[in-house]
Amino acid sequence: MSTQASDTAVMNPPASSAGDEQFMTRPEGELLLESRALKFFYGANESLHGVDLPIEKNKITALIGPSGCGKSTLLRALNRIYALYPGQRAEGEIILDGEDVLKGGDPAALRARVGMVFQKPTPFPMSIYDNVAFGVRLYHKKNKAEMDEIVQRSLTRAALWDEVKDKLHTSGLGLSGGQQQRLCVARGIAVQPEILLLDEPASALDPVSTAKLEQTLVELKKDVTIVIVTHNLQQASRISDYTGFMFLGRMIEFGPTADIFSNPRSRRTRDYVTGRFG
Amino acid sequence: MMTRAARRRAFNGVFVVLCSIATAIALSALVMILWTLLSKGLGGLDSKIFTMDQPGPGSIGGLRNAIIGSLIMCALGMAIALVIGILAGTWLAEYGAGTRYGHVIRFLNDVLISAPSILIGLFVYEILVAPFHGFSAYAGGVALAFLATPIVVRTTEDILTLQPGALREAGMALGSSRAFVIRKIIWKSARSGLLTAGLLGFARISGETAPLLFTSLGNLNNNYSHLSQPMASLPTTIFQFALSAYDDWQRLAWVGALMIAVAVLFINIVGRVLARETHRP
Repeated sequence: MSTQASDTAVMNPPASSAGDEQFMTRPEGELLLESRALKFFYGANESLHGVDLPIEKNKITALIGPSGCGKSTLLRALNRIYALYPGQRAEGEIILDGEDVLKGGDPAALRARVGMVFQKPTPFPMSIYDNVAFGVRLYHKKNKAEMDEIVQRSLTRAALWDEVKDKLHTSGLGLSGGQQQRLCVARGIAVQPEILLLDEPASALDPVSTAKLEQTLVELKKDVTIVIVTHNLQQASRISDYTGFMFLGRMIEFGPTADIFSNPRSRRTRDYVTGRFG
Repeated sequence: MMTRAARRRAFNGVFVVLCSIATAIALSALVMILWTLLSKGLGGLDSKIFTMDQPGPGSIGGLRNAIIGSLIMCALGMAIALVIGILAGTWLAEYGAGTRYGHVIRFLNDVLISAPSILIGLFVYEILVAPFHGFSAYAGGVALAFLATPIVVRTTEDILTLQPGALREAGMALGSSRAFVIRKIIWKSARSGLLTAGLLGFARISGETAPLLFTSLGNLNNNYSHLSQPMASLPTTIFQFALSAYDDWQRLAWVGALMIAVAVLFINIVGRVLARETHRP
């Protein structure tokens, strides 16, 4: 099975009579976050063409699709991290708890509720302890005992505590890639976000580290709603409850993960998950 | 008759030889400078250089007041240059990148980097010496700051631009402000590079003579506590002593020149080593 889309596959999709149809099976549970008719622009270039993404609370939602289909763009719209770059903008609605986050509001406050973990591990140039405490200190004044407890709890939930408990005050840059990525997860959940967005978090990790990270995510969903972009279809089918298949800036099919992988309604989805293209 | 391949080989050989000769000429000039400095300066290097002030002609003395004066004015210049340079470089890298205003500032800064130092000296003379009717160490420090600032700006911008964008995004994704991310994460991640920026600026100004001749002038006595008075410095002392008719003054000038050369060499090496540390992932 190929996990990387080649450019030719994107430019020359297999002929399909049903290729442009879109299929949406909405989750039955409570939605925490939802994008409606979301368009995204890099300058004048429209790269998302009206995407609907319903995200159910305390579930893992996976976004799959060939390179350049807009998965990461969609994810980066959800916490408005794109706003760092002039020229990038989103149109449509992103509803969090009944409010449209695209209609102004403080992006910093939004990002405290919607955390993010990136493709490459990004530990800050400081100790493991300070990495985890960084986000907490932005919002709360904690005494040492309280902060110690938050750091320990976050690292434990990220399945990293046992490996680092004796070297909390050494640099986070000294950890292995897999440990660094779990440190970033710990840092992200320390501020107690409602949602955690992960952009191909395992693409730079070896299989053992990947398995640990996946296990961590499955345990986390008790408290946090998770959205994960992945090129690894097995990973999506292993850990996610819902899967969205995207293609050329559109949500081609969205539904329960089991349906997407075993009984897709779109021919394009079937071609992708069976490895016929992409 | 030569084949094309043989002609190409011959041409290649001639080209390599010409390049090698040019390199040898450039290197030999450097070696000759260092050799001259060592042979003429090393003999005069003794403890009196550091313990005694510059002498009158024919008497015994050292370069203590010039060394300390240089250190004071360089420190003053670097204090100004680091504050302005790091902030301006940060603006260029983090906020001004890609904007028209940023392009203009970067261009003007590059012009300043290559501005003749004697012009800087004249400019500071006009604004800080003539109006106050006197040469001063303050004016000397400001003139040196004008020379070091553009270098610090440029190096800071280059170093900060090298910091991964993912690091900025990760800081912002936790809900912190742009300024907070820069101060707490980006500067910290780039700290050895920023130190390099300071060292390169310091190396640039430590041998400057022209701007000091117009501003701090020089002083035969030690007067480190009076920054509003003229102050001695190594480059101006070298200038004065080397042009003099006295053998002992000329010997001291060679020692001073050797000291500046060694200091600049040392600072550059430290700067390079630190820069390499920064670029390592």
